Amino acid sequence: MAVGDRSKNSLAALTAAALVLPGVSIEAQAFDKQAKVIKFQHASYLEDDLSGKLTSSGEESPRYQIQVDQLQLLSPLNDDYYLSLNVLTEEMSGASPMSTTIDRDNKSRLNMSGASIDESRKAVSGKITHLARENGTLSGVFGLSVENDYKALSLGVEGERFLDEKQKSLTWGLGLSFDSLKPTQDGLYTRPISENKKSFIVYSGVTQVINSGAQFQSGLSLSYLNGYLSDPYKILDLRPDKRVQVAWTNKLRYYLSRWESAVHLDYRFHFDDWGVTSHTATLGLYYPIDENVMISPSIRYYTQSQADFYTVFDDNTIEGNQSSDFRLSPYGAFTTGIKMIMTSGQWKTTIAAEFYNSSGDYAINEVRLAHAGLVSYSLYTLGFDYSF
Amino acid sequence: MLIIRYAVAISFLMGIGLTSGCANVEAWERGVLSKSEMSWDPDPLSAGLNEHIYFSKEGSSGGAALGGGGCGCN
Repeated sequence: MAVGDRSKNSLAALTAAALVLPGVSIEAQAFDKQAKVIKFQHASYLEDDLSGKLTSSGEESPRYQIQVDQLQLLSPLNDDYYLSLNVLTEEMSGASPMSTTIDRDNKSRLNMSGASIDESRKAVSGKITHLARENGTLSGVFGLSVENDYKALSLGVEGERFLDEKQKSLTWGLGLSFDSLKPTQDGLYTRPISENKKSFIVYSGVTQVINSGAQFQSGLSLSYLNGYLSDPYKILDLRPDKRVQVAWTNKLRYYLSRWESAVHLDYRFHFDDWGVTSHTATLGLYYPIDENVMISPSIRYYTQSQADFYTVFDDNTIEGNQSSDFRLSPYGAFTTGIKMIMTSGQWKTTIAAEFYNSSGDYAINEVRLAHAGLVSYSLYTLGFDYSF
Repeated sequence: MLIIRYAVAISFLMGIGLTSGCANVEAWERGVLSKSEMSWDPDPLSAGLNEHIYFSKEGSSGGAALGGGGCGCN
């Protein structure tokens, strides 16, 4: 290599390093390179069947299965704007719990919907980022999700301001979502004809470069939901029509030079005015097997307390709010995952498997009677990226 | 209100983090930080899918990001 080429490459490396912006997402790194990326991913989401010991009919019941296809385009529009566009389709089938009863042994049992659910969801979302700001970025985001019985439109704006020669940054965002639902009527149960829900979210965060191999991000978000927040497909489900949620998220990225590996450590603390408090901790590792293959194992732990109005079984004698939804019960869950990323020229292939198991025994606090509907699932994904 | 007190306490902690000093890292020393595996979400497409699943199957959600959508009823 000629000296001139070498110094040119060194200059390019320095320029690329100088453009590194802590707190900017992978899309932002892509526009640093002015690269266009198109991604396709297929995922199979498979919930474990429910044992006959846990259903009111005594028969084993299938649960939810979803086939997901996602397409993403990342591309600069011109020197000033960068686009991220996502399209998603989901095909859903299976059964879900409609009500919870309790048997003579004081164990909860589920009345399942039968394997009658067969529907689809289509969604499009995007983000346009204004790059022509030396000390930050400003983005507009939008999303539209459509099911036969549910529509959601979301709009938002978010920004980032760089401080201290880009060693620090402040992030912020504001978002609104308007949801409308028209539950499918089956003639057997009384369901609302038409309902609405509005959501408002505001967040801010701080990003800090700790040293040449570590960076940290902390953010606080506040969500306010107003409207119909119950589950229309449960026989007895009455929830408050307002909910305020607070989430404190923390992310650490640490580079282990010895193994040329990146360690990811995330923690989220959530609480709300329904009485649900949760802790989520995720540990991940990105380890290069060779120049073109990276392997990434991960583990996630989640634990939550029950909602104030959670009931172990549906009780017609209770006045006011009540829900026997397993998602509002006390429990804990582990997700273990493994991902392999292979790069070949302009192509990148990703294969991943994840396994989610939830149980009353995994909760941080003692659970006397775990919900019968706690879910376990497997998620398999295959994705291809092409950069051009 | 307890929620507001918690939020203020967390904001205070974040403020300390923002104002506290860390080692000065020059731009040319940030090569490692620019690696894709060191980004907050190396695979945003999968991260988005996972967030939607957790939103649908767990009793809490939220974080420093906008977006989402869908019923998540079943």
